Amino acid sequence: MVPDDPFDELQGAFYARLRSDLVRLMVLGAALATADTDPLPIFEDIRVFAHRVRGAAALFGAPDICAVAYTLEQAAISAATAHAGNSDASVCTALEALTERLATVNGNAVPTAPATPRR
Amino acid sequence: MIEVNDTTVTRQMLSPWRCRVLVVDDDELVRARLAALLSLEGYDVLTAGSGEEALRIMSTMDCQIVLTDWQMPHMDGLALCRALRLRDSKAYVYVLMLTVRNTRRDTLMGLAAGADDYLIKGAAGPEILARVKVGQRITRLEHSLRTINRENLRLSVTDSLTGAYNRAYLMKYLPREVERSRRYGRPLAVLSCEIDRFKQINDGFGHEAGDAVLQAFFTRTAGCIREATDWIARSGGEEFVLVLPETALHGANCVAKKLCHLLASQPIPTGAGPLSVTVSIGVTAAETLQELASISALELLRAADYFLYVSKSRGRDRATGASASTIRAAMSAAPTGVKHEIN
Repeated sequence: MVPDDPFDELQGAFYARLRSDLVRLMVLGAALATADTDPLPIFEDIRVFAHRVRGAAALFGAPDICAVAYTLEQAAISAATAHAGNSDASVCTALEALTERLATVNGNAVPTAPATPRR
Repeated sequence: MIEVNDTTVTRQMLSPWRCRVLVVDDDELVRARLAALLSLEGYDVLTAGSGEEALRIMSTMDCQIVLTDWQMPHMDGLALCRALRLRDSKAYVYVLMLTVRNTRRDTLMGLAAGADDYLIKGAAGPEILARVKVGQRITRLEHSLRTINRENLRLSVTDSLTGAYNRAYLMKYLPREVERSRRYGRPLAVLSCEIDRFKQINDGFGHEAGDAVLQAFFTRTAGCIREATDWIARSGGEEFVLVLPETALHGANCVAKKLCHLLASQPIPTGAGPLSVTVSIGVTAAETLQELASISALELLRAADYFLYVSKSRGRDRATGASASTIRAAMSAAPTGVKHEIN
């Protein structure tokens, strides 16, 4: 019996994970939007998350996702450095961009209620 | 000689070389993807989810190449590189950093931390494999050179005919044995051996027969001493010195008698037919703390040589010896010049 191509299998796992990443991204967006106190820990969570998506996307041949994740990673770093509030425009824009991009992976619908900062 | 070494390097480079690659990345999918890529290319692949885990693995298994991410929780790729370069490792580890950090400054930082190569994630599989292949060539070359260095070192202290240590080794390591015995207060014995009438063997039966006698002497001697502690050096044409740490005079005399018997009782097969050969031996030992404190390696050798002379003057095929308490008297009465000089 010929074994399955490991690359196909891993490629499938990568796209499957992007779907769960979409959920995780929406959770992060909601957490940022509802943050009453210092949003710095959430910026850090967003940075780590975006970095992971960026690295995997680069390796699995998804340069457009990689680029959008890079923008979000850089925005989170800048916001944290500038002690920005949870409505930082760069972060919010990049969050929405990545959310939209992940939502289009494998036929996922764009979320009806994208995360929007409260302040 | 250079040509021999070059040939050896070439031969080593052509021999099968199993290369183990350790993939370090905190993303499980990335690890799996890289491991699949490398495994299909024939590499032996291990994976680690962090710098700490990588170091743990490398403390128990040899890995020739480390393919590591930069940004990881706790110990990142830079810290891993620095830790690998500080490790006291017997072989070089080639580090390829594979990261999404893509600025020139990032590359310089990665290389400065100890990475041998720097590749940006997004590079195609064939490029990753090509870079790993460079690491394979370099680690293989390093392994070959290390093997050859080890062999050259062995040859530099070995007598090529018999396989015994050579005179240079004797003069370098006997003083260390004396020092060690002194430090731990343990006895040390030295036997000076000479194959009797060896010139007659060479003249009468040819040098090949003489060589066979020397080789047989070493083989038989090596068979009756302790492998891990005792050692033999060929100090001259037909002269050998046995160094027996942790051995007092009584034990050294037993070894010497055994050796005389072993040689005399069994003729040595040579191209010129079996030859009956005997050996004369001078035995001495430093046993007490006082003896150990005052004796030098040179004095031990001189004393053993003196008792060798006594054995020969009493008719050969025998062992004569005394402890270090008589060494100084023996030295003052030594009839011959100094045979051994410490380098």
